[in-house]
Amino acid sequence: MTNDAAEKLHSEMRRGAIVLGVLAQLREEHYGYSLRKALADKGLEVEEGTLYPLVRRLEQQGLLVSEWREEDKRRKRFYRLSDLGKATYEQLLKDWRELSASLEALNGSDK
Amino acid sequence: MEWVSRYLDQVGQYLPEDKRVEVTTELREAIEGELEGLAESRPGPVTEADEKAVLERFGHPLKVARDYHPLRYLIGPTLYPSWWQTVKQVAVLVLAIQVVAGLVVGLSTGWRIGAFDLLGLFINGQFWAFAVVTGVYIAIEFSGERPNHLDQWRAERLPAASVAPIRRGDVLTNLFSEGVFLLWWNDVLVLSRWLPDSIPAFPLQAGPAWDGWFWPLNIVFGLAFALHLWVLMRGVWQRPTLWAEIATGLGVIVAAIAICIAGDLVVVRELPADSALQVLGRAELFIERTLKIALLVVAGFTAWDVWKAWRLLLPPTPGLRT
Repeated sequence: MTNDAAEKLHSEMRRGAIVLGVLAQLREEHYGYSLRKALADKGLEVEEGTLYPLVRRLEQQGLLVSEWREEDKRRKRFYRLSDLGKATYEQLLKDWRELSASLEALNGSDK
Repeated sequence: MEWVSRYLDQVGQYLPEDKRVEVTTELREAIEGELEGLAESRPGPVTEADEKAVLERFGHPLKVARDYHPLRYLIGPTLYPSWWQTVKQVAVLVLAIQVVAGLVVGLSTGWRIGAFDLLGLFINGQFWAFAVVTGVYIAIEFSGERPNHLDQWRAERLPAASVAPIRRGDVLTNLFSEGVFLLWWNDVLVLSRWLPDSIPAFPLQAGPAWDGWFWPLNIVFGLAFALHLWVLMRGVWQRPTLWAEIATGLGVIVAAIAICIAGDLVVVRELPADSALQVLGRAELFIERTLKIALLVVAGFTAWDVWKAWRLLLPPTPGLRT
C-alpha cells in the first residue's frame, strides 16, 4: 500500500513537470518521436502513451500549433509553441522557479 | 505493418466516429515515427517483434482511446457529496412512504399481500428512488452547470450544531405509532373491518370527549410525524428539533389530559337483546376507565420524551460525566 501511495504521488508530481518539459522543448519544432527523444536525452523519459495524448491536449488548448509535412518520404506532424503557448510557458517557468526556490528553502531549513 | 493496422483498428473502435480518422492518422504517424527511430538506432530492419514492443509501450487500445476523450465523470467529485447525501435522505423518505403504504394495503386487504410481494415492492421503490436521484445528478454533471452554493457559502448559514445522536429505535417507534394513529384517526385504517361478518356492526362509538379534536390531533400528530422523519434523515438532534419535540410532546400531553377530563370517551350503542355483545354494554364503564388509563399512559410516555429532550437542551453540568 505504501508503495502504491508513493507511486501515485510521484506520478502526480511528474505530470506537471512533463507539461513544462514539453513546452520547453517545443520552443523548437519537433515531430512526435524527435520530441520524445529530445526529452529523453535531457533526462526526462516520457512514455509514448503519455506524450502523444498530452501533445494533442496542449494543441486543443491553443498552446501548440502543428502542421503536416513530408520529410524523408514520410508524412510527419510537426509541433511548436503558439504565441499563447510561449506566454504560458514563460509564466509556468516563472512559477516553477518560485516553487523550486520555496521547496529548496523548506528542505534547507530541515538540516 | 500489419500489427500497427490491427492496433489502430482497435483504437478506432473506442473513438467517436467524428474523431476516428483524425486520431488514428495521428497515432499512425506517432507509431511510425517510433519505429523509424528504432530502425535508426540499431542495424537491421524493423521486425514484427519491434512493432509489437512499440505498440505495447503505447498501451492497451482502450487506454489510448480514453486519453483522446475529454475527461468526464458520471457524477464528479464536486457533485458526489451532495449526491450521496440526497440518496440517503430520499431513501429514508421513500422508506417512510413505503411503510405507510404497506400498512394501508396490508390492513385493507386483510394482509392478503404476501411478505415476498412486500419485499419486492420495497426493493422496487428503493431502486427507483436511487435511479431517479442518480439520473438527475448525472444530468446536472453532463450539463456542465455547477451549483454555486458551495462557492457562495457563508459561515452564518451553518445549521445549529448537533446536540446528540438520535436513537433510531426510539424515533422509528414514534414514527410507527404516529403513522398508525394518523391512519386510524382519518379512517384510512378501519378496525371494524377486522370483525367477522357474523357480527353486524361495532357497537362502540367515539364519545363527546372527542368533539372538536379532529383537526388539533391531526396537526399535533402530523407535526410530530414530520419532525421525527426529519430527525431520522438528519441522524442527530439539534436545538430547533429538540424544541419542536418538546412543543409537539406538550401538545400531545395537553390533548390527552383534556380529552380524559372532557367527558365520555366511548358510547355503546343499543344492542339487540340476543346479541353476544350485550356484555359490552355492561362493561362500558370498564372500557371507559381503561381508555382513560391508556390515554394517561400515552401522556406519561410522551412526558418522558419531553423530559429527555429538555435534559439535552440544558448545558452540561461541569464536573459530571455526560
